Amino acid sequence: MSGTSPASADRGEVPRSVAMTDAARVTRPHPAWSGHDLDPAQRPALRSMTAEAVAREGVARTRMRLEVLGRERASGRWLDWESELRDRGAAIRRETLSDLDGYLAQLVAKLESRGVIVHRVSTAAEAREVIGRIATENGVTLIAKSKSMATEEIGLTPHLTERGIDVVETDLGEYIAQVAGERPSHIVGPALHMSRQDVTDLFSQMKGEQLPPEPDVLASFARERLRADFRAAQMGICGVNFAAADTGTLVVVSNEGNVDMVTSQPELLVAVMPVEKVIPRLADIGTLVPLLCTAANKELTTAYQTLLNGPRRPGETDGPSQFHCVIFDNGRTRLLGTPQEEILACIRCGNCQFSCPVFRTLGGGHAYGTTYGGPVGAVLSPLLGEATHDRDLPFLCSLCGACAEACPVKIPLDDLLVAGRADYEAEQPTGLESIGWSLWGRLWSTPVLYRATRWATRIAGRLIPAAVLGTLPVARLWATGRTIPDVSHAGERQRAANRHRTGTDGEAR
Amino acid sequence: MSTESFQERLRVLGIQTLRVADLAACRSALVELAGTARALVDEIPGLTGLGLVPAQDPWDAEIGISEAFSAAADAGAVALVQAAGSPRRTSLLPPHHVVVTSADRIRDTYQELVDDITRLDPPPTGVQIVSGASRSGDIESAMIHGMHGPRRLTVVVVG
Repeated sequence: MSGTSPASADRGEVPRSVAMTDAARVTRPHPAWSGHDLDPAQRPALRSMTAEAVAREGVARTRMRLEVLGRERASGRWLDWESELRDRGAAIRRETLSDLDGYLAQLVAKLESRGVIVHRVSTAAEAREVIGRIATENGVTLIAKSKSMATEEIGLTPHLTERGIDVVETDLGEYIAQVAGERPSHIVGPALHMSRQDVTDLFSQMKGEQLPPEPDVLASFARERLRADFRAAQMGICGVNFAAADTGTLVVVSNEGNVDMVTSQPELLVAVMPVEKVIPRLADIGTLVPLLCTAANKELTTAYQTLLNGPRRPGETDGPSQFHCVIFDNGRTRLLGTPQEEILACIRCGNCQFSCPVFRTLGGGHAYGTTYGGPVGAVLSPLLGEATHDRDLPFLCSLCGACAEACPVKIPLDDLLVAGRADYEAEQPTGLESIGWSLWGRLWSTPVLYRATRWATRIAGRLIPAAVLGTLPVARLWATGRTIPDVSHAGERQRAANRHRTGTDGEAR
Repeated sequence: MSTESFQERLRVLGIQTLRVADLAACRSALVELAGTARALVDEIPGLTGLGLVPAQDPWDAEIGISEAFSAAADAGAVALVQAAGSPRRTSLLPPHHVVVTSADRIRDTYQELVDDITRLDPPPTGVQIVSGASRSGDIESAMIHGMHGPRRLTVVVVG
């Protein structure tokens, strides 16, 4: 395998990514809103994004895959031992939130006592800038990165790429998404929106020759390229699942082994975490790791749990010589003491996403137009940063409540979604729309006027073709992304049914 | 008790497991497992000087041998310390990883394994908990073995 590695560092050349070689050849089309570089302030309206998402090629197959995964997880049905684990895990996360500042201070002190360089920053911009500085000051040209939603949230990869640094995602699903130029579509399954044929096409384009649509062959292709990068990268970036305040241990779970590569082979390591990843005690991972893995993947543990206590010590032959930890807030501590603080208990298992009919119908999280999709995203995204973006996301929800049942740490996601809707409505300026609604309210409170609107609808439905109806002013606002129903018989069937059932003309009601 | 359930759990996870009576039997088992493969071998008390073919380049190694200081029957997990004589690459770079653990280190539960880790004083540079070979389900949930780490894992229980 080493024969395929460039070993460029050995030749004193500047290492560059082998894994991303010829990624520019990839021509898979994708909508702007699934792109890795989508600006949250510029994202399309939910209505048009979701309309495009349900019409996207292959969405039906994605939905089926997500439904199978949701069924396998039996979201919301917890066995007895799982319920006990869930009770304990929920309690540990609430204990953390009860004194988040205290636990963070303890964590930082412990990390620093072991030689970890800690950077506590407030905003997403500060977080990516500090990491960019670490990379440029150390002359880094190639970074091997393991999966981290936190780094997606702070827009890290585009920031580093702009500085001329090659950043390569090493989790297979993340690598697939990166090659396609897309964001991860699910918290633990970044490429769930793609079929094996999609992956075959992507990799074949990069390779310049046709690969067979066999997962093992595709994985081998990725493995050889990524192995070269693990070896040559001067810097690794990892996320953090749990950070133990009592020992200063950072815990990262993975199945592929890429986390161990990224955290042990490059000379420099940067671990990135939002504030709520802290937990009171290292012993708590005895509960939280099995809970996370059960909820995320129906397994007691992943293949690897990587525990990091600091940089390489004298006499050791691998591990980073320089170990940084970036802890960012991005609007989170503002939530403490409010009902929304519950969302900070989240351990990012992705189970609420599998359980959500809206998420599945949309074929994954892209159509939320934000880092975090699905129920957790619809609650969390509007609260992040300055809380000015994505405020309408709680409307991507059918209020079925499946997410709250599926949540391993018992976050009342459904209540938070309702609260998010109320917040959104309260922020809307009263204008033409509210005048329209009050006019409609008055019309329909009077039986005669109510009937008149239906007569008008029927007549319009008979005289004007549906395609034209959908383009009329006002109607157009509703019709975008929807199919106009046949209104040429509006109200008639209902009236007939009522008369048949009650023997009276129930039309007024 | 926990040794049997540990080995049973490993089999369910598709991990090869051997049980040997003592360190002498363990030596022969390791020599047999390694054959002529280029090896990375950690410093394990009682198991030095196995006479295996050393890997000149760790990225080129074919087998890695390390010792677990704790194991959990319910998760089929073993815990490895990263320290001077036991770098992380041993368990990571070769396609075949062999873990030696003493039967008296096997706990019933994952929580007890974690408790063993919390008792390490001083805490080591790192700890790797391993439960199965490297895997990925990122292409249509089809299970891929040996994604970045070892494709094959063997656990040798001593005693």
